[in-house]
Amino acid sequence: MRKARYIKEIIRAVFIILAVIAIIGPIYWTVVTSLKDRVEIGLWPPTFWPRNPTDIWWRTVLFERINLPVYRNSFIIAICASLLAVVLGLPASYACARWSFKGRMDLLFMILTFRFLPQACVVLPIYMMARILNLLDTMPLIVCLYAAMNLPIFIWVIMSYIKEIPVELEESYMIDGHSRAAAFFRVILPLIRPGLIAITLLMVSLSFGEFLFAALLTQSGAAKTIPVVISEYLGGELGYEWGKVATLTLYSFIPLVLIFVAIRKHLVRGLTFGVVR
Amino acid sequence: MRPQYYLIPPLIFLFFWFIFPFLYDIYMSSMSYGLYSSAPPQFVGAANYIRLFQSADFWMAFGRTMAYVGICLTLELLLGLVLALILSKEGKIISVIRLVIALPILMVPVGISVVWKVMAMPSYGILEYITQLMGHRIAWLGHPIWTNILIIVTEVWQWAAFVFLILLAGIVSLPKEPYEAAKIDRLSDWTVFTKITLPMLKPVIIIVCLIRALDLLKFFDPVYALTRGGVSTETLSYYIYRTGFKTLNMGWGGTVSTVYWVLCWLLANAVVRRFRGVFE
Repeated sequence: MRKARYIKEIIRAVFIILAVIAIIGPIYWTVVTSLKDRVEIGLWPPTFWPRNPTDIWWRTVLFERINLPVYRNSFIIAICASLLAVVLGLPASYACARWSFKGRMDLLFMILTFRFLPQACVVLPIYMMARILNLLDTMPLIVCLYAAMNLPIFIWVIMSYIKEIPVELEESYMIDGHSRAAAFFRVILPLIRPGLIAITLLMVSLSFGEFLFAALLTQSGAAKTIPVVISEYLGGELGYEWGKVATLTLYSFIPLVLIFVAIRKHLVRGLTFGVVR
Repeated sequence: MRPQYYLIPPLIFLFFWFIFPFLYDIYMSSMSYGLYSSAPPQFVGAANYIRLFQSADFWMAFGRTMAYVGICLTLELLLGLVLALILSKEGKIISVIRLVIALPILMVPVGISVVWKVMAMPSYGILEYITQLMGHRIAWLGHPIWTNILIIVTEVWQWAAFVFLILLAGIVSLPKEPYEAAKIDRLSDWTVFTKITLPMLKPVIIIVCLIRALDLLKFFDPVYALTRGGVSTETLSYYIYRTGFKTLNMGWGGTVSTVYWVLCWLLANAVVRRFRGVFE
């Protein structure tokens, strides 16, 4: 009996170690690649630790003139798209959480369905429309698209937060002579604020990594984002620029880790439309 | 003011970016329409659809997308579930390991796909080196079977962490009483798992499968980063990209897009409605 338990523990430990190695491996290789010079990256056999660690990629990627607007774009687009989704979605979440009306669930399920439509099946018409409207390669276009992609998540999750707040709190405030709008801003909003901020940041991080729309609808520094630049390092005049790819991947890791740490209590709930708490 | 009115702005917005382009897809699909071509667009009726359903490329992309959905979903669910189960007890080391396991979802998908590519490159890739040490050097980017495995590994590596995180949250929040009762009754671990954990965890498993399955239908980033659709790895998303932006055949692209849109809409609706109990 005791022996069987030891064996179980050992299997468990082995599995955990294998999983950790599998996860760390590619991340470790990203770090190592970002520290190797061009020659060493192409060496056979590959070196497991750079012989002459270099910070050339870390410097060039960060300060490359053409990259500076890209960093700006990435943050502006992700933040504006999330705020746009908040503005469009907050009243809807409130209405769906507080009132039951005919067709409420049908409408909510329809909104949820939009979350699952692939970008690829609307990207061609959007490209054509944007070309006619002169919106191609502009930030407003990408902002709207990301807001539309995230809106269903936002409405569903925030609805679940509002539902948790007892209606009586609001009603007692309104009995004192305040309007429903005042009750919303003074009672509901402060109570859902942690969740609201967390979900907004979650939308920022989802927009930050989006690739298909960004790659196909932007070309220049006017609206290009970080994932597009990463993919471009593969096809430039200099051939494959692995060092830059690895470095930029690590740079873009930083804001996502920060967001993760800040919202971890709300993360699962945000990712599952408020279903898993 | 009626409560429905609050839903009008988001619905108009979503219609504008998802339904209106779909109508445009249908319009394009009825045309012979080359972008930048000198010939004006010409109405061809259903001819594009008839050709599409006879097109080997389309069916290959379709079948491959479905295969990726099935294989990746199974692997992600298995790995995520096992990891969540064995890391469900609290502890200092365990919480560090949990954090490590969650790291992949924090990488930009394209970035990490490209890193898998450098690891798989012929003549200097670490994966090729490792397979050589094990006795058989594998050309990861040159053989359909190995390349498909590589693409699946790339996707599973990143998203098993997603399944893990959500299932872990589900397991941690399960009530403790049934487990204490099971301990008193000296039930085996397997019985506890199949009779207690699995039934209680079912809603969480359903939601995580639903999200992953429908997201996997979009499969694009690893294909773009690793192979550009070559070596038998083209998915539906990539097929649309290729017809629209490489061969500039908008009529054809519109046809594929329409079919793909309808497919995803119907699937998403069916799945969401089938499991609507989970959402309510």
